[in-house]
Amino acid sequence: MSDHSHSEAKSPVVDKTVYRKGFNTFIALAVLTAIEYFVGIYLPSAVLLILLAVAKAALVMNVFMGITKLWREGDHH
Amino acid sequence: MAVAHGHDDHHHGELHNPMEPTRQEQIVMNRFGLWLFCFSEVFLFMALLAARFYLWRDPVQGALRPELEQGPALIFTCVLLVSSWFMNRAEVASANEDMKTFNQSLAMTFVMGLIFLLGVIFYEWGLGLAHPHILPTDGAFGAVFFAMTGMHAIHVITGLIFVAIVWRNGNLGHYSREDHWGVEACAIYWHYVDLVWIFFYPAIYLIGIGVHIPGH
Amino acid sequence: MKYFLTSALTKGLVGQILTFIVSYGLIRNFRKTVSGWEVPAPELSGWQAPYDEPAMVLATIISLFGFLLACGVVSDWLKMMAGQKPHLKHGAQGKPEWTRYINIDVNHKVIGIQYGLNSIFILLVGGLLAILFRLELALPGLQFLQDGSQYNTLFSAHGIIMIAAIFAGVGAMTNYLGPVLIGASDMSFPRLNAFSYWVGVPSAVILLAGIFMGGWDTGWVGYPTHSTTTQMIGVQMFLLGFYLNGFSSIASGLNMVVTAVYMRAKGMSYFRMPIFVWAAVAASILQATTTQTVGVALTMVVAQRTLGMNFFTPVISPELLAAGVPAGDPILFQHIFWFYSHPAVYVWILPGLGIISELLPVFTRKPLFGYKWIALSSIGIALVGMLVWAHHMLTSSMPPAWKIPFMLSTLLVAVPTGVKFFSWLATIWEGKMRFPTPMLFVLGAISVFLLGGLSGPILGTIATDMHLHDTYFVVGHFHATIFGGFVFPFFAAIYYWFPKITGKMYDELLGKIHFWIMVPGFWVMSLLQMRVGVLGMRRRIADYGSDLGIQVEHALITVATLAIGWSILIMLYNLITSARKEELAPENPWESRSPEFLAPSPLPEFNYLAPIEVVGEPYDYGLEGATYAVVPTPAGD
Ligand code: HEM
Ligand SMILES: [Cu+2]
Repeated sequence: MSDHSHSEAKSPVVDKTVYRKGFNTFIALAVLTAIEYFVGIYLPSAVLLILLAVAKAALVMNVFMGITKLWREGDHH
Repeated sequence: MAVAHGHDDHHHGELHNPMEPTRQEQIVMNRFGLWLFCFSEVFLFMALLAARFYLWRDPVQGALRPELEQGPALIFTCVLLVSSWFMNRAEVASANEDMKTFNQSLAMTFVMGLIFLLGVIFYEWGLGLAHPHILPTDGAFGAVFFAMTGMHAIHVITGLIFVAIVWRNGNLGHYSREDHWGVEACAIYWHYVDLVWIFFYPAIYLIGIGVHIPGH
Repeated sequence: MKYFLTSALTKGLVGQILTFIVSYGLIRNFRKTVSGWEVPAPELSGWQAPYDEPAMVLATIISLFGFLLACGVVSDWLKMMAGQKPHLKHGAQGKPEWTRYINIDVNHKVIGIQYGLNSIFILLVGGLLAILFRLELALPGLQFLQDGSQYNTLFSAHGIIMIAAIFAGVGAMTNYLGPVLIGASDMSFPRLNAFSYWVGVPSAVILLAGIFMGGWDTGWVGYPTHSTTTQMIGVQMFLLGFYLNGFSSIASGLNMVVTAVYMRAKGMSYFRMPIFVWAAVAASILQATTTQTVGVALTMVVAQRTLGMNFFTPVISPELLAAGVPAGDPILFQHIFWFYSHPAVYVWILPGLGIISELLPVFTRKPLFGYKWIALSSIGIALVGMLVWAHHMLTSSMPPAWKIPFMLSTLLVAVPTGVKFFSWLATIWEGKMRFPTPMLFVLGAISVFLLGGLSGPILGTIATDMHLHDTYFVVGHFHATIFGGFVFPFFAAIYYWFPKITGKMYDELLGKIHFWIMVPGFWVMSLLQMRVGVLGMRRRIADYGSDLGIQVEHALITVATLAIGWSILIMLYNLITSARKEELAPENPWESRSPEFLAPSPLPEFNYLAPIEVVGEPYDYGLEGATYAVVPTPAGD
């Protein structure tokens, strides 16, 4: 279903690199989740698990949630 | 010095606010407000995590966890992750006015979210099973497990409703390259729900020594 | 009358009551018919009402939605969900002006007044309860109450109702003053603002209803394991009302923070922001964050009572115990509860302390001493305030090693609080003082807050708290902090901005009478409460032995309470009659430099006719030629 070729229909400037970035982030998150699972099962270390979760959270906030927009577009005075 | 005009400072018909924020200014405020809301909810989920680490422990062995089936939990976690990726696609698509991708991706987000929700309710909670793995009355395990997954599930439900509304409004043509705040808000919220699960998943299923709950 | 019957308030209340009755009936019958869900016959005792508890809980939650839908505060959001783009409706919609206060209105000044009226109404109800149990306590033995559980319901309800009143009062000050003082036309999210006010109304109704639907005896803290086992099922209404009120806090906190960040007038840098706004932001940060945790604690109690989930009972079935499954723990509740409820006390006082700092320079005609320090001390109090919660648990079974850090952090809060005191003293020093009623209340507030502040560290020290915990000393302490930090500054603010709000002047003589009855009356009450506490009077108890030798004190406390009650009636009389008189107030009665006093009274719908500009420092009183704000005047001047 990830069909990029139709996007020319309406707007000429669909920036495919942005989709790419989302996909790469998704892959990174999936890898981290897999590592998490194996750490949890074979090497139960709470500290490592928490660090992994923090890394995943940082990725999500940065790329998916766009936290940087808060200061890039949010400046007032 | 100003002259007091008494009550009648506004006249005929529609009142106009001379200092009304522009749509762009309003969006900036909305974004900050939504992030503050997420930050506020952090305290809710932190309180649940605190309860988990406070109660699920043994003075000698340290952290405990109920022994639950690992496979399905991992699968549901991945499903939620995939839904997050589709949500990201939908947001990018709406910023590019690429309605087809928007439509498909948001629909996929909804489906994935729904699978996650049903998985939690019917499998993890055991509402669809003859012999549930864990019950709310199973000591602190049951109580905290259902509190955490339940509070998260409530947010998933809200998120699903949000996604459905944005999907419909998107198809009514309400979002444009300049103003797709509705989609962005929905995306931030949905990713936030995923983010909470990023912490809940290891806290519930991975951290601590597994203890088998008798009777299940 | 016609306007009243068709108002949002009436619709909401009717909606709430109807949804409660209908859903209660449906759920109860459903539970009766479905096998395995039969309701055990209630065992009636004392004030216990014959309600089906789980049905009551669900019906109460549903009744909130009944209120919100019926009153119409969520209609615009529903329309947006349906894909429409509703416009903000400004003004009275063709009805008389006064109807705005009982209808949904998005104007922050209207909402501020709504909060204020609501606060005063709830304050009167809570005060009435206090007078009832003070009459009971005036003499040893039981006077007119039938049993302890009636007394228990009275003090429990008094506590939480007063807290609801305080939150409404804080909402009144921040909503009315916040946007005005920063030169904005409204809050950032006007609809959310209306929602924060209106969601507080049904929650107050739920709290009040709890008194009659079973009552409860857990105090305002609702500690398990008592709250999870008590037979007085009004406790559920208490928990839910408390919980739902939290939505109001969270929403209005968020709104105020965003407003202060983005809606400030041109030229108003953070360090030119009025000091009250700093305080309101600090309080709002606490409201928007920590409120979530108390929500968790209260929901857990509801869940344990209703669904049998064991969060708080250290008892577990032998089978689970043998397998190593952990049981609940009541101390957990105390941690989560106080993580909110200690910061909550700062939410109550920070805006009040802000009012003190705001008004002192006006009445001493001197710059505020150490503006930056005061501004930052509010934030400091808020942040350190999040790290002291367990000083309420110094006598609990919490590990001793945890108690010492909490003692130290508690004593640390005295530092930013002390900063404020020194600034006030330095501002008063050599000032050209004027003493109208608002200034009297400011000074009274400082004196009383000093008493509360000094008793705090005594309670925060482990060795002394061992003796004083759960005595009337604690009661004296927190009444002094609340009156000094909230009640008196709130009254000062009401008198001070009364001419701005109504365009009329209050009666100075009645104002002074109010002050001279209330503040000395309060001193008597609070000091004697501390004294009987030290002499061994426990809190939350209907009776005491005549051999304790504290009868005179108790009788005097009751007299002081009655005096305070009368003085508040005098204030209400003063405000109501003054608002109705013809004569207009002077334009800037206090010679304030603040922008709102340079604009017409009452303020126009959008506060200022055009954007204002800030060109100087806010508190340069008495300095030649200093200007703070340039406020556009109406055309034709
Ligand atoms: C100098 C700062 C303060 C310190 C060190 C302090 C310390 C304490 C301590 C240690 C207790 C527990 C006493 C006990 O139960 O044994 C207490 C109770 C209390 N304090 Fe403060 N306090 C301070 C300021 C305030 C303020 C500003 C308020 C605002 C309203 C306040 C409101 C309360 C309340 C309501 C209670 C009683 C809670 C209950 O019902 O158990 N305190 N305080
Ligand atoms: Cu405290």
